[in-house]
Amino acid sequence: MIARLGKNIYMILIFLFLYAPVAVLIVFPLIKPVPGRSGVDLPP
Amino acid sequence: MISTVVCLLIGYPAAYILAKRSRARRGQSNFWLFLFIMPMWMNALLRTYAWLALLEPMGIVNTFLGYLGIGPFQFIYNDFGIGLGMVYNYLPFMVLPIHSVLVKISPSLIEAAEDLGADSTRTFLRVTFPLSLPGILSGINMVFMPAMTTFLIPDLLGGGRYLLIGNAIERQFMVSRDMTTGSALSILLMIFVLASMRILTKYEQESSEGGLLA
Repeated sequence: MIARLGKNIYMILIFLFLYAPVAVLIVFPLIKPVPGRSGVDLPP
Repeated sequence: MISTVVCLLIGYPAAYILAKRSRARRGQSNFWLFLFIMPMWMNALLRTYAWLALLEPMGIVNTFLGYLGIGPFQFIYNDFGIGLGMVYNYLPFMVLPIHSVLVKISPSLIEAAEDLGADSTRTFLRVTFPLSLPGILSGINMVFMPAMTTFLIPDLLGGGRYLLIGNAIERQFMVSRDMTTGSALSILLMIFVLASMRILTKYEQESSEGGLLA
């Protein structure tokens, strides 16, 4: 029971590690641009 | 070298769990394996930039830790950042060969070991692990070679302060425009890679012939 739980937690952590940057890449375009960091408000 | 060892330490249990599921439920494990490979379809450069966004001093992870009253921590521009980037990029290359070898191990061998009175730890150490050595060696081969020659990850996650052999070659070609030194370094690296491959292939042959099992 504990071993099974441990295995599941381990796999969840691995998938979290693998998919964290992918999630960032998906979410980033949806976030409002931050002034001064995105470059959109720089003077011409 | 460290990233290869970490990849092995993280990747072997993952491959083992996936292989066990594969034996128990044939179709479902292929799905898990597919999930394992899917992030690798995305460009490595993009994924490395995503790690920068996650781990920078004002990044997502440090902001979250700030809400908990911890940090901020310096995750990138140090050894940890480079190690993390390498392990992330090369982990599937370690998991896939080990998984493919573990899946092919006949369950009757494990059953025979258990029938002869071996507990699960002993069965793993005396049967499963020795039989999976060719997969481990292939995984080491597939992780060690690109990890040794990479220059992108140390440049981005190390902030250009770490000089690996890949970075040294890139700088000779792109910054110093000294193609002679760059070529010489490339040849040295190639010799080192070929020598490592030769050693690993020798061990692989030995283990497939039962040399390491005896």
